[in-house]
Amino acid sequence: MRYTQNLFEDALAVWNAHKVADTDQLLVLIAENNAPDLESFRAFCNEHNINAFGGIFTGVIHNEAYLREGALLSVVAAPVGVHVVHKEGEHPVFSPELSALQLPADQDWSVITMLDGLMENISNMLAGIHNLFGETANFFGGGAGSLSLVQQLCLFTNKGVYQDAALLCPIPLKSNIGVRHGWSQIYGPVVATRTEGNVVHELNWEPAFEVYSKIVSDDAGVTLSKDDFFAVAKAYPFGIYREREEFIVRDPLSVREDGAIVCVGEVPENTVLNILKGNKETLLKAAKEAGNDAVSQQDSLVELFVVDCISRTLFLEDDFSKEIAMVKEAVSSKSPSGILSLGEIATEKGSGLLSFFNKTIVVSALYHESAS
Amino acid sequence: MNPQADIIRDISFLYELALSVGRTLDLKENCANFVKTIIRRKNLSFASVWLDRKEFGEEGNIIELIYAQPEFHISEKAISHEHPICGILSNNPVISCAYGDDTFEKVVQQSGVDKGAYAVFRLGRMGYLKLYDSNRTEPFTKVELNQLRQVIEGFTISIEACIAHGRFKESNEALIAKERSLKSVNDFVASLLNCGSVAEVLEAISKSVTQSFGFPNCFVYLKDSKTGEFISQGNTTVQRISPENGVIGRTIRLKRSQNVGRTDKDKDYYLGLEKGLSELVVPIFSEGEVLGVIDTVHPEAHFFTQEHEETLTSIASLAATRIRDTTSKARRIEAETALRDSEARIRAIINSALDAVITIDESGSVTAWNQQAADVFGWTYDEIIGKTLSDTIIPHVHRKGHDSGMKNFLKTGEGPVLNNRIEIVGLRKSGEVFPIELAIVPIKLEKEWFFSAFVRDITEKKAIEERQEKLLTKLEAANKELRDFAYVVSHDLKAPLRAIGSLTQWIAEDYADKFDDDGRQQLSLLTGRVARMRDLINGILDYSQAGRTNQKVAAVDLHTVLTDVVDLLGTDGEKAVTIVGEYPSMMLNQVSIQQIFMNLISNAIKYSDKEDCKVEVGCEKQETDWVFWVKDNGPGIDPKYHDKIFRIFQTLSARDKVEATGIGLAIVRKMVHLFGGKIWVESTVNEGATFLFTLPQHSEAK
Repeated sequence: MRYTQNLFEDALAVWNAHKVADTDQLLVLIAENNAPDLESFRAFCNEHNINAFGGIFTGVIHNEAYLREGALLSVVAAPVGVHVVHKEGEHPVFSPELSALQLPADQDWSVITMLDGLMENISNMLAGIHNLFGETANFFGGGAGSLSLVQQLCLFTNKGVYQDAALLCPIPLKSNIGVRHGWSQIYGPVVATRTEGNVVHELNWEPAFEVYSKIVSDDAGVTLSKDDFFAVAKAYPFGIYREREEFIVRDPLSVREDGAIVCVGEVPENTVLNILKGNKETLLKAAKEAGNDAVSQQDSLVELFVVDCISRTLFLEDDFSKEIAMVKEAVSSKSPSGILSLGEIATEKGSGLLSFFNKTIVVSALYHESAS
Repeated sequence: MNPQADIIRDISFLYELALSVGRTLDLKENCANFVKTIIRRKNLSFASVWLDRKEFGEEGNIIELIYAQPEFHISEKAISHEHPICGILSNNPVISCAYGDDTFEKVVQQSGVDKGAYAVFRLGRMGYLKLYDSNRTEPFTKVELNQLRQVIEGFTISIEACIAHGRFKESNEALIAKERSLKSVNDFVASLLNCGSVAEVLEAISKSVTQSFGFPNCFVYLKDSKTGEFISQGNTTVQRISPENGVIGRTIRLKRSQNVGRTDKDKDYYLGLEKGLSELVVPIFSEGEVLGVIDTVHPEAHFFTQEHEETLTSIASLAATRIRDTTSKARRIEAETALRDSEARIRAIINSALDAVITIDESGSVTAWNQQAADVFGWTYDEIIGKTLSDTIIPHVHRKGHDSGMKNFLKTGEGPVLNNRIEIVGLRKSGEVFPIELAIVPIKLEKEWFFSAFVRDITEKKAIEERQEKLLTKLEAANKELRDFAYVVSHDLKAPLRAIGSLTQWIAEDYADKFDDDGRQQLSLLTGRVARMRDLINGILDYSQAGRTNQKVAAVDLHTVLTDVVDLLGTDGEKAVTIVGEYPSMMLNQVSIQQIFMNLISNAIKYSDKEDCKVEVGCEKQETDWVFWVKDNGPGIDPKYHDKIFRIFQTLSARDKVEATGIGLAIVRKMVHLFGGKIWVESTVNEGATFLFTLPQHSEAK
C-alpha cells in the first residue's frame, strides 16, 4: 500500500500505474486529520475515471507507525464490485444487485468490509451481511469515523458519500485472519441488567456508572469521575463471554448524565459481562499472536492488513509502534499496513458469526494461492 | 481449572438464556432472542428452530423452519415427518452427534457439511431446536445437554405461549376485522338511508371505502345504457371502460369480484385513474345485470384481503339495490314531471289555439274545453265539464246522428266524419244555431278512446262568402250587359254607317259631273270619316269580344305563331323583322296570341320613321315567367305617354299622319292580362321602343 499526503495527485498516479482492468478499484483509506472533503475527492475520481472506494478513519498504519494524517492507496485487482448497504430503521437494506450476487465457489474470497463505526444496530447490519454471503468468504475490516465520536459522512464510492451504511468489496484472494486483544478478566461476572443498543443503563440492577466506577476505582487506585472517564476506562473494558475464544470486548467510551455508560458496539440486555484489564505487555503479546494466527506462509503473501482499534493506540501510546512490530515479527517480507478503527470486523468462514469487536487487533494475511 | 469460576460461568450462561426466553409473545422474536444468546455464549456456528405446522392448526405433515441464525445455512425451509431426524427424535428427547457418527448423517439437512457436531433438542410435541458447532470434533457433552434441558423446557413453554398468543391475536384480529367490516357495512347502510340520488349513493360508497377501510382511493363506474361502456363517476377525469378491457372489464364479464395481488403480473391490468400494485374490483349487480363496479387500488402488492373483498361485495350488493331504487324513482319522477310538463304544454297550446278545442270521452262527456270553446259556444269550462255534447252544443237535429256515430265508432272503429274537416252547424248556449268548421281526431289512451274536436265558428266567413257570391253574380251580369251593349251598339251602328257609306259612294258616282272640286273633296272627306267611323266601331267590337271565356285553349308553338304573323304582314327587305331566341309552346288561345304579336309588330312598322325599319322579336325564360319583347328602331315614345298608349282610343300621332283608332294596344293589354301576364314599354324619344310582356311559366305546354 502506498502512503500519501498528496491524495488527489497520488490517487491518480497510483491508479494509472497499477490499474490492470477497468473493473479494478482503488482502495482509499484516509486518516481523519486534514482529511479532504469526501465529496470533492469523489468528484475528482469520477472526473479522472478512477474507480475508487474507501473511508475516513481515525488513523492509518504505515511503516510500523500510526498516522493521524495522510492516506493509504492500493489498487484492488478483480473485485466483484463495491456494494453499499444502507439501513432502514434497525435493519440493513440490500440492493437487488447485491441480493443476487453469487460468488463463484471455485475461488477463495475475502470481503473488505467497512462501515460507519458510530451508527446504531451494527450487529443487525453484520448479521444481515453474513446471511447474505454465508460461508462463501472471509470478512475483515473496521469501523470508519472520527475520534471526536461525532457521526459524519465517512464512506464513499464513485456513486456517493455515506454514513449509516456499510461498504463491501469482495476480492478473489484467500485470507487468514488473526483476531486478538490481550485483555483479561479482573472482575466478574456483572450483569448488564438494562441496556439499549450500545448504552448500558444498569449493571447488577444499579446505575451502570456506580457499579463500574467502584470496581475500576478499587483496581486503579484512583477515583473514576465522569469528566475524565475515558482516561481511566480505556484500560478497563467490558468482556462478553464466548466459549473457547477471547471475550468480545466492548469499549466504554463515555458516561451520560444519568449514569449510563456508552460503549462502542452493542451490549445485549442481561448479558453477563466481565471487567477486563490489560497492560502493554499483554496487548503486544496479543498482537504477535494475531500476526502468527494470520500468517501461515510467506511466499504467496500479497498483503498484510491490520485493523487496529484506535483505543489500543490511546492505551499503548508511544509503544504503539511496538504493536505493529510484533505483527511484523510474524512475517519478514512485508510491512503491515492498515487502519485505526472504531470497532473491528472479522470472521473466517465456518468459524461462527460475523462479529463486531472493540479494542482488538485484526490481522488479515491475503494470499494469491491456498494457504494452510 | 477453577471449579468456582466454571460454575459461575455456567450459571451466568443459564441466567442469560433463561432471561432471553419469554420476553416477547412474538414467536420469531422469542426464538431470535434465545437463539442469538445461545449462539453467542456457546460460540456456535448455527442454530435453528423448527415447528410442526399442525401447531398452527394446519393440516399435513410438514415441519417448518421458524428461525435460523445465520439463515444462509438453510437450503430447505420445510421437511416432512418422514425425515430421519423426526424418527430419531420420536424416541429420544435429545440427539448429540459429531461428524463421523451414523446419526450425524441423519441429522444433517445440508450438503457439504463435513465437520463439527450437532445437538438437537425436541421441543415437546411441537418441533425441535438444532444447534451446530463447526469447530467441535466431539459431540456436545452430557453435562452441556443437561445444563440446557430445563432452559429448553422453558423455551418450549414460551413457544407454546407464543403460538397460543398468535392464534388468539389472529382470531382477535379476525374478529376486529369482522367487526370493522360489519361496522363499515352498518355505517354504509345507515348512510344509504339518507341517499336520495345515485350521486349520493356513490358518495356514500366512496366515503365508506376510503374512511372505514382507510383505502387510498375508491372509484365507482356505472354502466352507460346507451353505449354499454362503464363510466367513472364523480372524478374530474372521466374514464370510459368497455367490458372487454382491464381488470374492470373482466369483473363485468365474469360477474364476480377480482382481487389482483400483483397488477404488474396481470395481463389484463392497465393503468386507470390511479396506479397501484394491488387492485380489487367488485361488481355492483342486480337481477343478473351488472350496473357498475367498485374499484380500488393500493400501492402495495397483495394488499387486499378476503375480508376486504367480502365487505366490499356486501357494500356493492347494498348499493345495487339502492341504485336501482333511486334510478327507478328518479325515472318515475322524471316521467311524471315530463307528463306534467307535457300536459301543461298541451293545455297552453289548447288554450292559446285559435280554434275551440273540445275533448270528450267514450261516454260523450266533455273532458277538455278551452277558452275559445267557451267564447264560441257560451258555456264556461266549469259549466260544461262532465256534460255530454248532445245535451249542450249539438243542435237537436244532429243529436241522434252524433250518438249513433259514437256508438258505431266504438263498435267498429270506423267513423266517416273522423279525421276530416267538415262544415256543420253548432248550438250556442243562447240557442243560436251557427255554422262551424269541425275536425274530430280519435285518440286512444291506455284502453279508452278520447275524441278531440277542433271547432271554428265560421258564421262571419259564411256571411262574407255569401256577400262575395252575390257581388260576383252582379258583376258578371253587369259585364255581360256591357259586352252585349257594346256588341249591340256596334252592330246596330254598323248598318246605318254602311248605308251612309254606300249612299256617299253612290252620290259620288252618280253626280260626279255635278260636283266641282270642292264638292268632290268634301265627298272624299265624308267617305274617309265614314271609313274611320267603321274602324272605330269594329275596334269597339273587337275589344268587347277580346278574351271571351269560351275561347279555345290549346298548345301553341309560339315560334310558329310568330313566323306566321311575320309572313302575314308581308314585310320586305326595308322593313325587316328578326325573330331571336328559343320559344316555348304554351297553352293559350292561338288567335289571341297571334293578335298580340300582330298588333305589336305592325305598330312597330306602322310608326317607323326610318327607311330601314328594323324590328326584333325575342324572348327569355325568367324565374316565374316568360318575357317576350318587340323592339324597334322607330321614333321612340316619351316616357310620359308610356301608360297612356295602352288606354282605349288613345293615339299619339295626328289622324292625318297615321291612320289609327287607339284600340290595338288596349286590346293587347287586355289579352295579356287575361293570360295572367303584364305588359309595359321601355323607350326614350328618338331611341326606338321596346314593348315587353310576360306570360306565366305555368302556362307552358307539358
